[in-house]
Amino acid sequence: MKRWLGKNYRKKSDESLMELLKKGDKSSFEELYHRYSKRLLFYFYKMLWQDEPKSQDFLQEIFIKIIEKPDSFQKGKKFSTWIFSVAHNMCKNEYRRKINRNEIALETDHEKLWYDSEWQFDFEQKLFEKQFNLALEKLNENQKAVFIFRYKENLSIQEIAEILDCSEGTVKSRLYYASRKLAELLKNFSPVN
Amino acid sequence: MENFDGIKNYEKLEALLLKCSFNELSEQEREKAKQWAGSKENFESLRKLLLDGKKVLQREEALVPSTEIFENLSSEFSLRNQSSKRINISLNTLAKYPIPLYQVGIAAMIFFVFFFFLNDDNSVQKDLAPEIVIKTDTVFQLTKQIDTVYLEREVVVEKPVYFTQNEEEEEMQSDGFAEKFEKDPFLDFQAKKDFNNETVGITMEEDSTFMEFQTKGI
Repeated sequence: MKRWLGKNYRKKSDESLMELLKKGDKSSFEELYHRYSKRLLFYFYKMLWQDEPKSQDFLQEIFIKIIEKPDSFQKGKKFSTWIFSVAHNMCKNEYRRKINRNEIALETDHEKLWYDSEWQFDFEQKLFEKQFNLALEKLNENQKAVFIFRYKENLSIQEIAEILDCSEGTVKSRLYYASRKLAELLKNFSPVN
Repeated sequence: MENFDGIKNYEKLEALLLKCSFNELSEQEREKAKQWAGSKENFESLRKLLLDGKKVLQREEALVPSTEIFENLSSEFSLRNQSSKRINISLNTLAKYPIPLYQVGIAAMIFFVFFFFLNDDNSVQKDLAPEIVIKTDTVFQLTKQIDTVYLEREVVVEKPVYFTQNEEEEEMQSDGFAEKFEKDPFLDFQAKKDFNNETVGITMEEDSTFMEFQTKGI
């Protein structure tokens, strides 16, 4: 029976699951958690300076918000857009908090690694991953968010604009500058064959 | 320098970047690619970034949500929705509770009997007849009463005081003289005259009444 229900829930859309969740349906909550927990955790991880414990905390917090105030999700909206906009706002608040406390260092230890000559010339895939992540950290909050939404979540420009509450032109501009900056930072690595 | 063309056509540029390398593009596409990316080198570096960067982002599988989080959230959800669930369960059990048909029949009969006994014709007519009900309410009225309050008032009476050097002129210090002076202010001219003649020791300048007349020019 449970198995059948599970399958049934898997076929449901995010939005209908959310409607069931509002009525107190636990299985719909679990299904939504399984669909989005990993994606959200990755987003938090990338946005919050690759701090895993903090990202786990943020993941818990966002789902607590869903449990406490499920009515904040309005009918007719796309769930993925809504949940990512909530996640983005949480990150924005964290950035503000950090800036107020002067906790964001302009030059991190990662940067020292970046200029390590051995690393620059000895290119490997693993190393590229590391350098790519370090370069991603050098983007500002908005550029980083659009890049992740576009190339990790494969969201459209329109969806990203909706999440970030800005125009599509702004999203394109942020994407363009983020790509240019990342390309500039990673130009010392051998090109794709 | 700002490349507005590149920004405006970012989606098209992205499609070209993901399609193939610069050399593999058609002549027309190369032109556009150069225009949007700025140069051939820029195009190649952007292409490399998108291809490799995308791979890196898609490959990140090491991050797994903690199992504790799911457990905590599940219990939190159950706790929050406990009260509503309890009502649902009781309603469901009531709806699904099996009742024998004869019991339902007896219950229905009892209901009809009570209905006919309690709602006979008289009682229905009685109910329909309009009744006049007189109601008496107590209304409290506020009345205002004005009382006379007596207040004590202090009255200050000014009396001129005269100083004499001469015992003979003591008479002028008396109340009688002051009353006379009030009645006939010209008396002080006489008194001043007497003072000037060193016959009376009155300092008329200190007298307020004198000063008052003096200012009026009398």
